Amino acid sequence: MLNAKENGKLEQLHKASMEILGKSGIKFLLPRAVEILKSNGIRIESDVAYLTEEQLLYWVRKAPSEFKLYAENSEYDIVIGGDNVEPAPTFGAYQIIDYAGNARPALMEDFINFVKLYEANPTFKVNGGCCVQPSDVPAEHGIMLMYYAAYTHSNKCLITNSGSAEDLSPLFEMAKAAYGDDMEKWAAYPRITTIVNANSPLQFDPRMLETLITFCQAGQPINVDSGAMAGSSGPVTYAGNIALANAEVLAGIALTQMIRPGTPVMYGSTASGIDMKNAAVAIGAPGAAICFKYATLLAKYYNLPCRGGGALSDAKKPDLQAGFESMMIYKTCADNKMNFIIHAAGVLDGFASASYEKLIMDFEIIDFVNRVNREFEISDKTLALDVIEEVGHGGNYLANRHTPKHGRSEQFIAKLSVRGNAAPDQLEKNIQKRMAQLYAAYQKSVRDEAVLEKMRGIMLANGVAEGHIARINSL
Amino acid sequence: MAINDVYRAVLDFEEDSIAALIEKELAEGVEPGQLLQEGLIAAMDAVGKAFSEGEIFVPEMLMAAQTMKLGLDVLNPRLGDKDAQSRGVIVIGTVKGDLHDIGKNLVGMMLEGGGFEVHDLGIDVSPEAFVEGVKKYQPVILGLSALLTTTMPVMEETVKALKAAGLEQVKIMIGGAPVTRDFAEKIGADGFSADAPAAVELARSLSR
Ligand code: B12
Repeated sequence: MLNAKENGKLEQLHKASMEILGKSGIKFLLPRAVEILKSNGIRIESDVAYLTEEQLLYWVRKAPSEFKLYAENSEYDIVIGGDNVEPAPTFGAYQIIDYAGNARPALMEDFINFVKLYEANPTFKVNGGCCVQPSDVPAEHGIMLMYYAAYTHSNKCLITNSGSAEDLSPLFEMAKAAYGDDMEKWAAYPRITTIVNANSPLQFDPRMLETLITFCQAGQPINVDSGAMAGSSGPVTYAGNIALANAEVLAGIALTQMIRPGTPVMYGSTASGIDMKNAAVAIGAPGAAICFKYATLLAKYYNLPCRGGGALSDAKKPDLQAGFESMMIYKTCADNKMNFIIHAAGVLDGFASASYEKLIMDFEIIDFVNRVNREFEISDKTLALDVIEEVGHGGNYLANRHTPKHGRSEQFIAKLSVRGNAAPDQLEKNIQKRMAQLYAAYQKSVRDEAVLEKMRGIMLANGVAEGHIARINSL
Repeated sequence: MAINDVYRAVLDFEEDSIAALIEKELAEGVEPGQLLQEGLIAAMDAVGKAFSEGEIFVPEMLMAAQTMKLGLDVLNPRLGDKDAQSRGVIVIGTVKGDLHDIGKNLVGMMLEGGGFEVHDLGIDVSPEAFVEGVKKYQPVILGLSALLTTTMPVMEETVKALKAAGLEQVKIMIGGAPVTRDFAEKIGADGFSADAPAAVELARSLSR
């Protein structure tokens, strides 16, 4: 429960956003989107929409406060909303940075390795997307190939890429090959989700609006996201930046509900700040944590599920900076019940790069945070008054029966943290060991050959080279 | 010293008073070329140095550049041909399919602060539109920006389009987070820089 002071702040931010929507309006750079807004009585001047508070809330309230996303294996179905927090893969990094800090372009093999590592980690119920951007497949075929690679290698809920209506059409054909073409059933059991970014400040570009329309028509959830950066694409003062991002996201969400009332949607935020010394995006900074905190509070104020944050860092390699920044941002999000956390593991360098070692470190961060935030049990068993009496003054708990009995469940068994007598390179060894264990635990999903054949047919018909498909199958 | 006032005005971001200050100096008979070199350009060099050392921040540097530009607007009509020539024209833009413009804008503003005349074609600019822009503004340098690996190939298309249009005399410099020096060489661009201060240096050397 929020206290009155916090509530007052949210009202202030809400009012400010309403003023932005009424005075500046939001530019929708796609005639079809403008038509939809217009036909629902929204005031339009050229391509700028001006929503009143009443109109905005009327549409936003049609969005469900939580919804379910369905996985190939129903064990991994998730609820997005309420107090649930689901980590999800990182998205869009085009480089891989190694432990020493050397960077190289990401490849399809890296994409599949990342999918395998997320798949083998039971904490993750979501996979795929653009967990890294493979440089060795043609850009125009990436959307299809990444979906195929994720579908063949994961049983979990899947993210996809975003794109123009034309880019998305073969993707949806492929998904229909898997889940049938009864669109009502699709809408009742959403299978895929993606990111729709506002092009801050105050606009949505045509490609993103086509993604929004395509997904909403199919009843598939999207997250409407603002990445306003305080100081470059938003005001340098965080309150203003948050109010701006809020206005953009709410306007996008209103549009989703005009397309298909009740369609599931997430309130998204990657709002952050910049480094004043060079204007670089600052995703691991305290300001970013403030943006994420308020994104969760505002989403809950509007009764919407939220997406944002991650184990975010601007570090140039998986180093000390990567550690402290990632922990701060992830914990802030988890503490505030950010429902869907894309970029939960592996990202660094201000979203531009990914790292295997950091991916493993972030897995540990997530497990730490989950442990901290687990309900703290105070009971006869955990107070252990009888044991305290038994051990008495100056006694020793190590050898007491109570310690081995509860040791494994009470003490978090760290997979990476080094303690006690150990060599300085033990952390690195632990990271490699955990990575090897995850690869070993990974099991490739069993898929209906007929479905795969259909998917391959769709890709070939859309110009994808057979070699790229064969390569994915071999990995 | 009077020129020192102009120099200080840039360092103190005195956007409102710089024009009047320069008018006053000109009325008193100070050479326009001297006001440019020892006042405005010397001040921006000092600003650039302080920026590189992390003493002043991006928005502050941009304000200094803006002040310098306002001063330049007053000086320009009075500068002789020799001084005017030293000022290179640059056309800049983000390539087709790409909407990222923060880095490109920053580079553009710093180039202006460095004394260049910059024409920004905006975002999502097709190779044909770059060709048109080059024909229109006759720049010494064309700057291309791309932030997506998926739009980097458009940089190469743009270089080819310029050649095909017989505009190979214009120097091409490229940048954006995923862009590398190797890539610049591969596509036949004349230069690459990783950040805005380096872009000004690069432009100076390319326009020499
Ligand atoms: C901010 C941002 C956005 C904003 C852009 C706002 C705007 N008005 O520009 C928004 C939210 C709109 C956005 C949208 C998208 N983005 Co984006 N974005 C970024 C981000 C986080 C920071 C870019 C930035 O502003 N940097 C700060 C400036 C100051 O730095 P800079 O641009 O690098 O510029 C410096 C140098 O490169 C150089 N320079 C730049 N240009 C030039 C030109 C010349 C001539 C020279 C000499 C030098 C030079 O000097 C500059 C100053 O120092 C990057 C990640 C990153 N760290 O780069 C992702 C990133 C580039 N985006 C990415 C993606 C995927 C997208 C979207 C597809 C996401 C989506 N699904 O919504 C869309 C695509 C939109 C499109 N068609 O372009 C990916 C790219 C993946 C890839 N394939 O390459 C990245 C890496 C993030 C990620 N992991 O997803 N994005």
